[in-house]
Amino acid sequence: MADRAQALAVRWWPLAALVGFMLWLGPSQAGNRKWLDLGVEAMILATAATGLNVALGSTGLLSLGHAGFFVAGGYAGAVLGPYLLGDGSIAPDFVVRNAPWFGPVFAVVVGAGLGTALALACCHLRGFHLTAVTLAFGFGVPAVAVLAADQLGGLAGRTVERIPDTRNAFLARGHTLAGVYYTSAVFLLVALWLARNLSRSRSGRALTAVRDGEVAARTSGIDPYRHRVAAFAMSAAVVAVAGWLSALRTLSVSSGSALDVQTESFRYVITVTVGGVGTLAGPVVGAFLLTFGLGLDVFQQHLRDKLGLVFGGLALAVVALAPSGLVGAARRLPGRRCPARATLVSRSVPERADPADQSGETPGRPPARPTLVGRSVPEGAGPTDQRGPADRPRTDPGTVLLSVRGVTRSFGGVAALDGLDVDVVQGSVHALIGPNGSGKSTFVNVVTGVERPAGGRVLLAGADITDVAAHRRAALGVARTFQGVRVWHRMGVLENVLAGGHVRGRAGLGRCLLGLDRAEESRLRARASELLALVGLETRAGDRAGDLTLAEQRRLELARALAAEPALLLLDEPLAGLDEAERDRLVRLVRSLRSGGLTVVLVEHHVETVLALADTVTVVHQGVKLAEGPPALVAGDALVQEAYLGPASGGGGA
Amino acid sequence: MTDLVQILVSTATVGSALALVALGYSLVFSATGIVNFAQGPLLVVGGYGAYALSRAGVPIVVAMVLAVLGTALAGAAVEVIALRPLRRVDAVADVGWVLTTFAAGLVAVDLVRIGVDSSPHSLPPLVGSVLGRHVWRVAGVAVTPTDIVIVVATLALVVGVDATLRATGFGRALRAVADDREAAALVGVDTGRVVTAAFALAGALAAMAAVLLAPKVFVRLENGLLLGLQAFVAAVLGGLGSARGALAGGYAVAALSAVARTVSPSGSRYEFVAVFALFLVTLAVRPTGLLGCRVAEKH
Repeated sequence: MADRAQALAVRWWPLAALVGFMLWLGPSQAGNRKWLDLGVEAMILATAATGLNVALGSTGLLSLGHAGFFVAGGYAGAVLGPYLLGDGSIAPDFVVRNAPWFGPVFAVVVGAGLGTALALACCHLRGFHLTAVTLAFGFGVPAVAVLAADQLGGLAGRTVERIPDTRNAFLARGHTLAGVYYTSAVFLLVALWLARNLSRSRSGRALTAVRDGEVAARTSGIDPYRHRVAAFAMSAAVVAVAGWLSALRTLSVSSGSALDVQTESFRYVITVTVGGVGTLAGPVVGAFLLTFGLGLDVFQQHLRDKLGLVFGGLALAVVALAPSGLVGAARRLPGRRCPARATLVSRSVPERADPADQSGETPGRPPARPTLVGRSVPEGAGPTDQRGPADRPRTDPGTVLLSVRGVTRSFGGVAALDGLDVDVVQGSVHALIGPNGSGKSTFVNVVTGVERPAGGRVLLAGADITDVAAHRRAALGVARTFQGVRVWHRMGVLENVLAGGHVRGRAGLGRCLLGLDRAEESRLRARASELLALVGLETRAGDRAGDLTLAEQRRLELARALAAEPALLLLDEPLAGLDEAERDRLVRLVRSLRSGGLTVVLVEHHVETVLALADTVTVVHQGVKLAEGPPALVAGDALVQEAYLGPASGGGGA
Repeated sequence: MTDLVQILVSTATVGSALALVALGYSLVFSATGIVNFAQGPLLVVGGYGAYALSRAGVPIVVAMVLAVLGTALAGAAVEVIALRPLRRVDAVADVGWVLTTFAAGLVAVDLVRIGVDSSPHSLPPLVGSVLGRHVWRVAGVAVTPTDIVIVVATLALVVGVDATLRATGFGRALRAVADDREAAALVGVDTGRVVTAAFALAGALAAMAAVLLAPKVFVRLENGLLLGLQAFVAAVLGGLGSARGALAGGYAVAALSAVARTVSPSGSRYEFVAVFALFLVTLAVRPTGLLGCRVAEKH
């Protein structure tokens, strides 16, 4: 009980401190316009920064044009909204009477719309290209304000009506500074609540996975483009609401010059960076520090007009000295109970880990998978059922699950695959061996959709998936591990497995944001912990994946792949870098997976293991099939020996 | 006819300046795989530097030379301040260098604003004082020796830089660093110096663009963003890493914006929209640019 109370305290004290501070500042400074106004400014900045953090922290998109959404939100909420809901509006009477309070709705719609439009244009890009597009967008905002000077008021902007104080006794308080203060506080808390829900949800994990490793995200069933666009749009919407709050505060909306937009956008970025990118508390800490810091008289005198210098200098200093921000640095202080957390993702305490719960969960499992493979795999056939692999029937042993027909793929004139045909039988372990550069990894990439073949077809359970995107193949039951391990380094170990099970969850963005995904979430968590136990990583569940040893990361990749409950699992050199004990462990694991009905494609160099494990071996050499058959037969094949050992020594010097 | 000549003159002169700035982006990208977001602000540093020196009584030619040298130093400083610390620590969400180079640019522009002032300035034409103040009229459009000098100087610089990259030890070192920094270091290339030199050269190019263009286009604080972004579009369009691509991209962007300015009824407002559209189309269709071949991007 005491532990639980302490855990609660550890988790909630930052929020309690924030609410306490806001509740103290409001009444105590009621007569002091300066500090109350600074409080409003800080909360507005914190809201905008929280919004930006969804793009920057969770998804790694650095936008330098978010002030454009801020301005757009101000216009939408405080000008467009009241105009559309003004006299003669067709909106319901209640809405018209309280028109100003529907400002945030307009801000969200316009912000999300603009954000989506911009994201659709640039979210196929990464890094500096995207940043440059956002810079250009920020540059265009004042241009629009000038173009539509009659409505928007040009660079100087325009005033907006105060929220009238006659229509509704309660809401009327909104026209006072105190009213704006509490309104801002409410919206900041809402933004934080949404961000927190997101960070602990299926969608939030998908965003972080995309940031930490796009290829692994795709092969885990996560569509990077869609998630980037969604993150960018959400981020823009929250910033737009902050813009509406700012219009309430100053009773005006203006874009300022292009330089102003740029500086303001950078202010959000530096706020997040100072506080801690990708943390919940970071944007708030950064916002309060920057606002109240610059609000001090001494700074007011000397620095108020040198924002470029201040923000730029701060950014340089923070990146050089404390790149994870104040919150990140605080987490690393000695004596902290919680180990460092690099991402938004919450600490991974499996919420319900007792087996009694899990056995009763089968009814809650998603209905028959609407996948190609679903038809050939009985309901409930998944590696999760490792507890009783024996009672899992093999499905139509002998059916071809994966069929690769005449696949070609070349790199700069060198054919990695040159018309390769391979049939993988359902429920078998099918090994692919061959010398380095023989095209094995390319084979795995082509099957999982990471690379497109130049020619040939890939069929899964008889259906052509050659043109199916990698993330859709994951949903069809194809999972893999990587030769060069690709765990999501900055996510937690359990989170890696949870994100690997992306295709087994169904909570959409809305449910994730509103926290309505808890039932599914605890089911996924239970399953993920079970998989961690299966690969022997249960004690590392709360650690950062990047802190694991290479061997542990390989096991984590395996658990992540199994979390998708695949029908076909491709292991790309899973033994590389493992010692003998670990090899044995993996062999046993693959055997038990096979007896559970899983089909495994094993790409491996370690011939002994292949011979011990595989049902069928295909030998690939320079992109073509050299031999195929049961391990014992293939091992004796002269051609194979030649390929491996060279012509002179093959078959006794033939 | 007048319009056409006007477009041609504008394309040739503004395009040349954009090409020089774009070449700076390209050089840095070649050496490091990153984009120096302080490249636009360095243009401001060069322009205001020359203005401040000439205001202080330094002869204009000397002022321009000093400004170019000073901006080269500023460029090197950007590398030392913004990039070197990143090699030791984990970057911020993988885009730390975007943040720091941009921050360095903000600081540079603010220093200029505080140290000099924030109003637009014109510089006397470099060649006007030497060659006399000829003005030719071509179909009613004024063409000055300055215009010709901008184009000739730009072509000479681009050819010079291209040749330097191809044929000299520095060029080989730069390409080696671009290809594989660690391998270059292993074979004895002083990679730190090569990268710093690339930043310095990029700064010098930006300053040259500023002083060459200053008689025609005001030196303004906003130029860092306005010309900086347009030059970035030019660099991407031509292909980051390619000197000739920078040249082609510079003229293409300038031509587009000159045409947009001419055809838009309300003056120069559609200029930027056109360039932005070109940028998005380039990124969507061919992110490596017309002449670029480097696919990999650091992220």
